[in-house]
Parts: sequence; structure tokens; C-alpha cells
Amino acid sequence: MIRRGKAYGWLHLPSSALESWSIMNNVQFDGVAVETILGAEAKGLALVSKSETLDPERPLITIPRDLVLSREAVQLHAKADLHLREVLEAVPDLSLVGSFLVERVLQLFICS
Amino acid sequence: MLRGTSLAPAIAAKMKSLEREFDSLRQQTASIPWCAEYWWDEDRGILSPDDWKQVDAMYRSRALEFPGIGDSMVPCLDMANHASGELTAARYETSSDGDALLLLRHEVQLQQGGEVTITYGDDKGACEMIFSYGFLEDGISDARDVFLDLAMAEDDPLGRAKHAVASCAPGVRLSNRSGRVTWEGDYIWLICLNEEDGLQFRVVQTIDGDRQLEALFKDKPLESTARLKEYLQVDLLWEVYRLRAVSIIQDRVEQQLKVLYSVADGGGDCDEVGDSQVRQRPREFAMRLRDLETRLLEQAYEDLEGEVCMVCISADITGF
Repeated sequence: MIRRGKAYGWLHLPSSALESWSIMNNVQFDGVAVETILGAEAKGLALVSKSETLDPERPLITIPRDLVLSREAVQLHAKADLHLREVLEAVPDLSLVGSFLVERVLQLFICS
Repeated sequence: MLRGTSLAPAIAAKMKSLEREFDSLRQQTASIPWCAEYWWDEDRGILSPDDWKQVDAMYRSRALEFPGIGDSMVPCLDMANHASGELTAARYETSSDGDALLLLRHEVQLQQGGEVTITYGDDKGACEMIFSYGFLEDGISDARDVFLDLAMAEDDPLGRAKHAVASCAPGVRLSNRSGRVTWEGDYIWLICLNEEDGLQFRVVQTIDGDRQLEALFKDKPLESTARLKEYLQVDLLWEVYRLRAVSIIQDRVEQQLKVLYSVADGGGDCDEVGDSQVRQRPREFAMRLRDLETRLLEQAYEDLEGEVCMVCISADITGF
């Protein structure tokens, strides 16, 4: 599914889409931005300072709690998402990592 | 490419574990109608074991242990690359509302254009960094940890029983944190002991009516493999058991070094299949990992030799 999605484009977004996504989802950036780092290290994308003076007391990025994928978030999603709940109930001995993977698979599946 | 490194068996074990988990997912969701149709159908089903492996890699390379939240994935924040120790630029925490925050560390002065990094873990060994994140930090001069698998002796009549009752990983972890390599792992104690030492097995009935294998040492039940070491440490023959353990581990280290040397002698990074298709950076990381682990194991061999001498001296003093 993932390979096909990337090949056909429905599972691939350009890195420039991150900015739009962040705005739509209320992620706040203050003094930093995601950019491509060029050069010998070939790291690709990175978080880069856009200011000469960053204050350690001011958050550089604020991510709303409902965007964080945690055990609590999976359980919350399962209350609202019948498909996720069905799968998690069918596999009661699934590890925490397994439940994350199922949640992610379902998100990718919805894209397909 | 990875032959001789601790990464090779780790990846093999991980792949097997993911395949088992995927099969289990398939079996247990096969009766859900939409899963059967859209995931598992022979012709139209779109889920494959490869998807499970890719999602695991996505998780493993991005998950953070977030204070106040636990293991989690945090979008945008996880775009930060890794730098360890004093080079780490930023820290992460939760606000009173439960939002995730990235903040500059107080000790850090960052210029415009400078990279905001977090640490993926200052204490992780070279193998774990490549395994989880696919890279090795520049300037790493120590593998820090190497896990070597251990096997029961082929002619050990209790070998299968011992392995069945083991409650720990079947191997030994060699660690270098202070210039001296130390080892840890309880599996070695099962390898060392035999019936004449007082190791016994019996089949017992559980409360549910099932039968299970139970191990005992000198008639004392072993609820876990860790318990065995506790019994041995207060046994009169403790120095003898320790000598056996250290000798077996030293032999194992020697065996691994021979593999690493033979790979190096054979041209370095040659492998049976498709080696020319491996990209440059993974190839470089594999070679660096081999060098780092070779050095740690060479140090381990020396330090284990020292430990053998110490144990022998100690055994002489106690009269064995």
C-alpha cells in the first residue's frame, strides 16, 4: 500500500506542504522554520533558526495536544473511530507500538 | 555489508518479529468484514508485510519519550535532527494545557540560520542509532554497546530446557562507558550450570490446569533467570561459576572478532547480493559500525582476560 501510494502520489507531499498543514492544524512556529539543509552533511530537512535572538523561555514550536500520537490519543481515537476500535478489540494482546502502528496504518489506508 | 556487526542479527530478529506480528494481525482481524475485503483479500487487499515494516520504521525513527505524555509521535517537532551532549540545541516538554513545546536550551547561543537540534538519546550505542534512525553522528569514536548472542552447547542435554525457561535475552551485552568494557546478562548463568552443579527441571501443574516447565537450583525454584545469579553469588562455588561465565564470554568475543577480521580481509564491504546497489551513506555507516564494534570487542577481550586473572586470584584466596 505504501509503496503504491508513494509511486502514484497519494502518499507523497512536498515538504512545502508542511507549512500549510501546520497553519491548518494550529501549530505555532516562533523564530524557527523547517528548511532543507544543503551541503556535505546531506541531512535534508531540518529545523533552522530564523532569528538572531531566540529566547529559551518562549516556545519555538507549540503543537496542540490533539496532534500528539500517544497511548492516550490512540484510546481517544478508538472511541470515535469504529474501524480502529474494531481492530484493537480483535487484537487484545497488541503492544503499545502495535496499537500505534495500527492507528498509522488506518490513517494511511484512509488516504488510499 | 553488515556481516560481523551486532546490527545484522538485530535486523534479522526484528524482521522476524514484525512478520509474526503482521501474521497475528491478519489472523485476528480476518473475521472483520471490511478488513477481509480491503486489507486481506487475495486480489484486492492492499496491506502487505512491507507496509507493517515501513510503519514500524516511521515510528521507530520518530518516536520520542515525551515528559508528561510517554512514548509518542509529535509532528513538526520530530523534524528536528539529532545532536548529543552539549551540542543539543533544544529541549521538549508539555505545557499546562498538555500541548507539546520545543524550547531552546538555556546554555545555547544560536545564530540565525543555525540548526535547532534535539537529542534522540545521549546514551544510545552505535548499533542502536543506526537501527532506529539510520545514521551515525559524526565524531562518534566508540560503539558504546555491543550485544552478542549466546547459544547453549550443542552437546548439552539440558540445553533446550534451559532455553525454554530463560526469562532474559539469549546473549550478553558488552558496554564501554568509562574506558573499561563491562558485561551484563543473565543467560550466561544458564549456560554455565549443569545437573552436577544442582540445576534441575521438573514439570508442574499451574492453577489453570496447564503444565509448565520449572527450573530449580539446589532445590530452590527459579522464578526468573535473574534469581539464578542471586543464588550463585552466595554459593561457595561462586568464583568457579564466575570463571566459567567469563571464559565462555571471552570465547564468544573471540569468535565474533574472527568474523569481523575475515570480513575486513575479504575486501571490507563485499557482500553476496546486490552490494553495488547499496547507497553510499548506508555503506559508510556499516563500515564505521564494523570498525567501532571491532575496537570495542578487542577492548572487551583484554578486559575479560584481566577479569579471568582476578577471578583466579580470588579463587586461590578462597581455597579453590
